[in-house]
Amino acid sequence: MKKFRINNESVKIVVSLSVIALVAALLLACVNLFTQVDENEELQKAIAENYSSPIAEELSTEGYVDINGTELQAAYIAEDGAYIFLVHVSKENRIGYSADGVGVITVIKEGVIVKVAGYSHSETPGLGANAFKEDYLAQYAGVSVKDVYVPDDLKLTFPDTTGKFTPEKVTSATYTTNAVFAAVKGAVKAYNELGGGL
Amino acid sequence: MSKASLRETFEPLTTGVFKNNATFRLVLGTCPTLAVTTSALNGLSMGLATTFVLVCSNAIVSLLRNFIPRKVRIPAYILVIATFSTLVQMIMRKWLPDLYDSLGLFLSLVVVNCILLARAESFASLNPVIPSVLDGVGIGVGFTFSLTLLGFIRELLGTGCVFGFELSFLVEAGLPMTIFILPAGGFMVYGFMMVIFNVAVKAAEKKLAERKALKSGGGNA
Repeated sequence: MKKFRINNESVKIVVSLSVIALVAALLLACVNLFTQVDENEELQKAIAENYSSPIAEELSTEGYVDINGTELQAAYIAEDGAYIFLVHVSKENRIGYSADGVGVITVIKEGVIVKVAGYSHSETPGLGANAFKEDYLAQYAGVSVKDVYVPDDLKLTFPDTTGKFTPEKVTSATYTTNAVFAAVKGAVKAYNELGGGL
Repeated sequence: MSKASLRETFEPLTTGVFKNNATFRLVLGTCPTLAVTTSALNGLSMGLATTFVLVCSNAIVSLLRNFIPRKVRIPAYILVIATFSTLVQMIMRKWLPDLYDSLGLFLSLVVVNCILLARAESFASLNPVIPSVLDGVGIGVGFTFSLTLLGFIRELLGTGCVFGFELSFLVEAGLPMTIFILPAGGFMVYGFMMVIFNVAVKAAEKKLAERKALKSGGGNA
């Protein structure tokens, strides 16, 4: 029968890697205590920067079904009765180039889009990022939710041939333009189904 | 400390910027170089983030060079580099969220940037802490300089902006060409800059050698 023997070199390897990993984990845990990001707080800060009326309550999105390809991440009602939505559009179906997709805040009041603002994206500056500039997004302000075609699946949306509202495209950034518009469509759907449109 | 040994200690600092410039001479870290240099600010911040990770990882690898078993040195180096890379990500996400979004995936990919592993393996694991830190600073400054320069040229020619500020006279003159912020333009600018940098460094080296020869010749006479 072979005698069980601990190989010294193996022990040294395991111990040295374990010590380095432990120190690294401790260091990262300490830094994490100070750098943890409260996403809800970040979002509310971004909303406050884009819409003056304070948030009155958070809407429950339970049971809500998104347009395929979009995700309603948060919904609020402001004190003045406006509905505020954060919709995320994934990179699927060649919509947008950002690896993590794009996040767009849409404010709708009394059936009219009041404000559209970018929340998160990593589009190329000078190209896709132009679709998140304030002067470009201003074209959505004043558009009635009735004029925005809301499909079940984003694949069916582009090009939009319904004759309803279509935004101007940013040169050389068609996919990103579509991503922003898809997020607005997601917000309009949420507005219609979560109470605002009734 | 004698003048010669002082020069020897600080040598990695200057060679990292010119002679061993990671981007234009060693052609390392090409993937983030081409991907993030769509603007000067992106290039500068990516360069600074990489420099921080490089300096810290070089220092730790050098400190632990006698403790890390040779057989597992690469996983150990990756572990050290990944720690500092994650640290940069955490800090940037908290205090520079726009930049964090803009650099996106490439910030996480600092871990596998071959410049970091190459310096840990070929320099920090063989040298004491101070020269290793200086090597990290030198290579990091060289990398930052190259990325900022590429970003500056691509942003200027591609969008008519410098560090995000639009130069209206360029835009009105119709100078910006979108190709420069696309991958094809990135390769073009990278290629041209590599030629210019190499010619300039070689000319400077030649001049320096000639001056040295002249000096030693004069001394003998």
